[in-house]
Amino acid sequence: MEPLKVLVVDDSSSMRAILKKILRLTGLPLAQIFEAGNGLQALELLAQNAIDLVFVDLNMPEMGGMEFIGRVQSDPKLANTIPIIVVSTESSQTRIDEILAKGMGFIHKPFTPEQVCEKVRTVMGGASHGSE
Amino acid sequence: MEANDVLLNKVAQEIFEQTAYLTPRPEGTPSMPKRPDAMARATVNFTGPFPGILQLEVPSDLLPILASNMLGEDETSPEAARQGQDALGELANIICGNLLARMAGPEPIFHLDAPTIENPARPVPDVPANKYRAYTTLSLEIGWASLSIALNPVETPA
Repeated sequence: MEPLKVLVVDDSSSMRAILKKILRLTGLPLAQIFEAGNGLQALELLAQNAIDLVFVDLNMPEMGGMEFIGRVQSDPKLANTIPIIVVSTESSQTRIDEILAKGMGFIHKPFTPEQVCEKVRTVMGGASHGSE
Repeated sequence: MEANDVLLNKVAQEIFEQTAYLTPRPEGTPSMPKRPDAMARATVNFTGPFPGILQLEVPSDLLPILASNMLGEDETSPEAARQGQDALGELANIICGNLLARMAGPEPIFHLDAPTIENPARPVPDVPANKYRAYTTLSLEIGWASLSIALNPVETPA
């Protein structure tokens, strides 16, 4: 597997730092980890870099996670090419079902490093990577 | 819908243990600092089936410990010092999301605003009495944390 470029999107800098630390524990080859504080910044990074995996929060200022996912999925260059894992306190089964139906992964906060590692392995197992 | 001190305490305990690796102690009344500038407060406003506000307050010297535990950094590290307030906000956000799910059940969708952080002029709760729903204080291995959740009052016909 080629070293991965990962994008972590969360308005909390501490949550981004936690996810970055866990990512380094997964054993996945990592080329670079990008950070964004909202969906708009994330879209700019996606346009400029061949990202292989995205972690995204739902509730963020400027552009939230659901709108970000919608924008990615409506972009012919990005749709169905980048695995996206939603990391959120969201507990509404309606909303979680909506996320899963879009083909996203979902991790509920709080989470353990093991849960993140397992989800990454699951979504990367069948993904078509942007940098391949 | 249920909101009470016991539920708030239970959810807050779980999140502190799982996220910040701080185990609340069952006994003892935490001693509160006298100086307002020695406290930090995170506030999360939420909207949904019932809108309201959750507040989490801790002594300021707990902030680097929260950050170091959450990030796996040494508490004297620059990163822990930098991330203290954000870590408090993220804790409040996680507690709020999980508490609302326990209160409202698995279907309703809430929107949580980004947490705001301040050094409060007085301890929580500082919301009007008619809005108050639940309040609790955790005595931690190091320091304490106090939490309140208030729901916007339901207007009743005159």
